[in-house]
Amino acid sequence: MSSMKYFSFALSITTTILLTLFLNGNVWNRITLPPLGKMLNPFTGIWQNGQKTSRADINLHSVSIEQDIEIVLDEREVPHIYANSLNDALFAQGYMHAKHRYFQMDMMSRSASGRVAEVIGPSRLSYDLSQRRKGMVYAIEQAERGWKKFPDRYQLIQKYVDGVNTALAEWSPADYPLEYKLLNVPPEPWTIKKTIMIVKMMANDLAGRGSDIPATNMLEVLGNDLFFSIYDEHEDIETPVILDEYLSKAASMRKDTIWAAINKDIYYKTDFKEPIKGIGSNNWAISGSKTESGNPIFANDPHLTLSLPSIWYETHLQYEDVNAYGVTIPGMPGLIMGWNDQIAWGETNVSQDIKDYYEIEWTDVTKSHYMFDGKPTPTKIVVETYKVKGTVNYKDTLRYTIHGPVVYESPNGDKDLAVRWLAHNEPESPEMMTFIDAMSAKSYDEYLKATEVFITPAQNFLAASKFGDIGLRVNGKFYKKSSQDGRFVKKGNNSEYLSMEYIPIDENPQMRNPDRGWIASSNQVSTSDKYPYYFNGRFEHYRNRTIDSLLNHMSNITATEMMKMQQNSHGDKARDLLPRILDNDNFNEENEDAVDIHLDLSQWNHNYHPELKAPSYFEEWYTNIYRNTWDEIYAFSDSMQILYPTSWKTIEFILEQPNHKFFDIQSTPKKETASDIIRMSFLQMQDTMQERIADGKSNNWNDYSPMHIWHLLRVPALSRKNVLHTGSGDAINSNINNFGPSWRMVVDLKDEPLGYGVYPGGQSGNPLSNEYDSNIEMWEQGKYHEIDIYLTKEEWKINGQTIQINAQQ
Amino acid sequence: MRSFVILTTIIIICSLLLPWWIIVIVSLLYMSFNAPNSLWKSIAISFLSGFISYLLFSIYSSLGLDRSPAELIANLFGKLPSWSAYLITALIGGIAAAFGGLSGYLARNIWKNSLT
Repeated sequence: MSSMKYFSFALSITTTILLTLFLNGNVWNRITLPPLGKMLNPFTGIWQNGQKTSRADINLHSVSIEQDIEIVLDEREVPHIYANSLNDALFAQGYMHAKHRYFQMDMMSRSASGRVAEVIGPSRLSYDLSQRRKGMVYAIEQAERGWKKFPDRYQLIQKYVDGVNTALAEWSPADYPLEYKLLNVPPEPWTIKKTIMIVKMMANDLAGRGSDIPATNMLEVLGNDLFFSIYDEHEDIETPVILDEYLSKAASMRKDTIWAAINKDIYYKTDFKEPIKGIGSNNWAISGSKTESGNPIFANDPHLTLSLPSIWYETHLQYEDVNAYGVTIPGMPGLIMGWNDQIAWGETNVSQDIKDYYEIEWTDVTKSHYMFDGKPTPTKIVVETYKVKGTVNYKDTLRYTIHGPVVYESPNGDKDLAVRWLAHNEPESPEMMTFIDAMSAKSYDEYLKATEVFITPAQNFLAASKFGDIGLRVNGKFYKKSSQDGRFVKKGNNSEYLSMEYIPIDENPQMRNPDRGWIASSNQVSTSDKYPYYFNGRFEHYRNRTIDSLLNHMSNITATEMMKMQQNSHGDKARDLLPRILDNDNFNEENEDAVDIHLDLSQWNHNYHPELKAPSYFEEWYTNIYRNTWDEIYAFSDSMQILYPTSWKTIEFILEQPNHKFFDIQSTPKKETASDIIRMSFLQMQDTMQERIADGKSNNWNDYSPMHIWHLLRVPALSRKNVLHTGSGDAINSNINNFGPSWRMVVDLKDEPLGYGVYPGGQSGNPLSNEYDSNIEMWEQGKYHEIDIYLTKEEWKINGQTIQINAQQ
Repeated sequence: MRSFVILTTIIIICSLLLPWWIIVIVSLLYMSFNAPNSLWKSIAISFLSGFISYLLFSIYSSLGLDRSPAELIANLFGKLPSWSAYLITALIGGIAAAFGGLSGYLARNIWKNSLT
């Protein structure tokens, strides 16, 4: 009987311990469990993440600041920082970033450095591997080395880091952001290295893709003539960012192609990803000669991944004689886009290819040495260890060559590729100061000075000053290259094939106060082929033409019109192509459904509005035309990475070469022309649209091309699905998939500059705050917040909160 | 009733200061020294104490907020009604405390046995 009691107790206590471990989310054998007890207990779990509607003022002390700081949070929770020095202002900015967005900062830094599996589990290991293989950790370490060469500036960034960690130190487990409770991990302290990770994540997103491998494959299978006829680098009707008359008159002219450097071959499939359609941005500046008030107007809308929390965070900083407002990415000090009492500034991505691939010639299978300039050269071997939640660590051996890390290894080791990326280079200038110094720039010249230290990802840095200047510089480091250099995989055994010299910043494409009265960029080609240095990339072809056309024709421009222009949903691709394909000679008008579709498309004004069906018909039709036209190229996609021809080239072929051999479908005996492709694609589109109706789906543009704003963890309960949107990837209002105008900003540069801005999210990263997604509705409706940086502290404080940070000796 | 009130109070106080699993320890220790004579009564008191303390504190934690945590928690489990979040939370508290209480009762049985 007594032993029964012991047995019962043993059984009970074992079950209790197992249950407690289960509710605590302890994991074993690759199974990750939600920590139900830890997460849902009302004392420290998600219940404690609720945000009180009325918030009490906060007082705290810090030894890291020189003088007292006051932060006023307005009713949208935008911090207005009042500090006496830049050091203290950056401390306060770091403090607020952590308070509102720490999980986001942490995840972005983990994404950059390949440490996601550590908190998510084995499903993210392949992502982490690819991040470190492409040299992200190497780039981060190189940057840290470079940043340390500027100790004064490095210390300034440390102040920002101190601010972040001050906010973290206030937290008990009950205060941890909700996502940490879901993932069952604690937050880690912030470091300068993590700020570098955010910078490199942006470099990776905006300048981390090259088409070298698919371009090399296509060159090999198509031959030179066909390749260069399909993949033109300049189009006849292009509208480059910089006008020809402003191009550098550098003595060095374009050097001829070094064909011997190109490694013509066919490469195995890699994880190469095409540039994502939708990532891109617009900015433009109008000089006073074209505005109603006579003052310049500035506009900027970066199209990045729309996420919750939003990628952007608004801040207003006042220190010394600076009064600046704008947005930055949490984790990065300063303001990436914004305005002060003198100038407004912002960027778009340059899209030039700064990533080159080199085939490595190993001396033997051990890969311990490779041939370079005729000599065996030692490989640097680094073993990376990956922590993986719920299972054992994983190790991967990375090999570094003079070119950079070996990113792809072939089964036989005979086609291993090393990648050379400008973002790998140790910075020779204090690049971290760009967005800090921009805040205090009082003129376009001072803005140029602030931005000249910037290295990568190269941006079209545009600014306008209230004194009348407008100017743009294609800003970043670029190598001087011979023609076609960097477009294809190169041989990695010869130093002559390595570009080493940078283009001097003065010779970067730039333009100031053009006679036409405006400057605009939207990821199109930087210059015509008259620019003395060769560059290549994947550029935008339609948005920029719409912007150019509108700005050329507008006069007496107002800020309201610029906001309206940012919502412009007109697609020039549809305008160029639709009349031709609607007039196709073999359209079958006996089919009633086809007649309706045809009529819808004929009456469409090429604006992508959510309630219309015509944009859906057109895009589906065009997608089929594209696939049917390039069936010869798609045929290679099973065995290699292919380079997709551009839309403008496809349309040029349809309009000007309708009998081109690419219109012949390989699988049929008949010799098709563009008209056959158009007809066949129409029928396919019609079928798809009918199937959608049969499946209970609508063919309205908003449903055909839905937009979701996902939470960083893609948890549906924390995301907003089916967001109302106009536009398309080719429209100024570039909305596609989950990419779109992640921040819309217009600044009227009158005597006291007045700004307007909105982003589809909210200041708080807490899903239980009203300010988590409060601006989405405004963004959907195309409305903006009016932002007057001259309001007083008391005016900002209405319905807000004050955080007083006192200096402690 | 007295045991229920005392245990509920101790669970709330300890949970405010210590990690969530203290509810299991508190129930175990309480029933080790103060368990009623009936197994089922010990389990019921522990369960109810855990259930009510979690329920009350989750309701208290939802007062005066921008947004209801209950709605978000219910959505995390699918599209459940908000009240289900309170129920799930209270059940977790109840079950954790009940297992603690059960082990405490059985420990007390051994303890009592060795004394007699």
